[in-house]
Amino acid sequence: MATIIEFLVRLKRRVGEAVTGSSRALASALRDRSSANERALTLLEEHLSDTQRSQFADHGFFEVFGSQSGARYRIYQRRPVNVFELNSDGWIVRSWCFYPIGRLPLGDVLLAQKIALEHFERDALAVANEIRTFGIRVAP
Amino acid sequence: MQILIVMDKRGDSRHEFDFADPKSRADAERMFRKLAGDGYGAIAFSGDNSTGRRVDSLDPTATRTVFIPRLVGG
Repeated sequence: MATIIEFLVRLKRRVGEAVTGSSRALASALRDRSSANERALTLLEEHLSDTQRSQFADHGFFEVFGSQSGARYRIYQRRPVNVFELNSDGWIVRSWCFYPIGRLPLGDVLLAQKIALEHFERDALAVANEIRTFGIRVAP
Repeated sequence: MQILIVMDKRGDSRHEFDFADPKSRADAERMFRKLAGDGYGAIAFSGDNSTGRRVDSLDPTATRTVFIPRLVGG
């Protein structure tokens, strides 16, 4: 009987240690992810123009112009489909889905999309998936 | 001093180097070639960080060069 009780006490201690260890690991992972997100958003904001920074702060998106076509794109702060091509009246004409490989925080993804469209638009769109969209107007 | 900024899952990693110092520059060039070989694109910025230019080697006039991983369709 004493052996069984000792076994149960040891088991309880080990389970407790495992749960505590898992909780610490989870908390650490969440802290790392939060820190990575903040760092990536800081890097993004360092590379936005004044206009883009205002758009991002006020609306959660910013706009860029394609380096080769001159087309206007709106990049939203979300995943997965977040790049929209607009016509001169502000209507969405296409959605584009592309992103950098690796498990990057969202701020890095947005900056990579901005840099790609502003510097090597054709290469970026060559790998992107295109979704034709008609009749959607976005504000503002 | 110049800085190479590499996007990664921690947000980014930063590597400072001195273009005028041969050893420092050689280290930076080695890193540039490795990243380019891994498919990273490099954009150099001078002063105004909102406007850069695509480069395929170290740019002596850049204040920072940002490396973005290869793009794929979603």
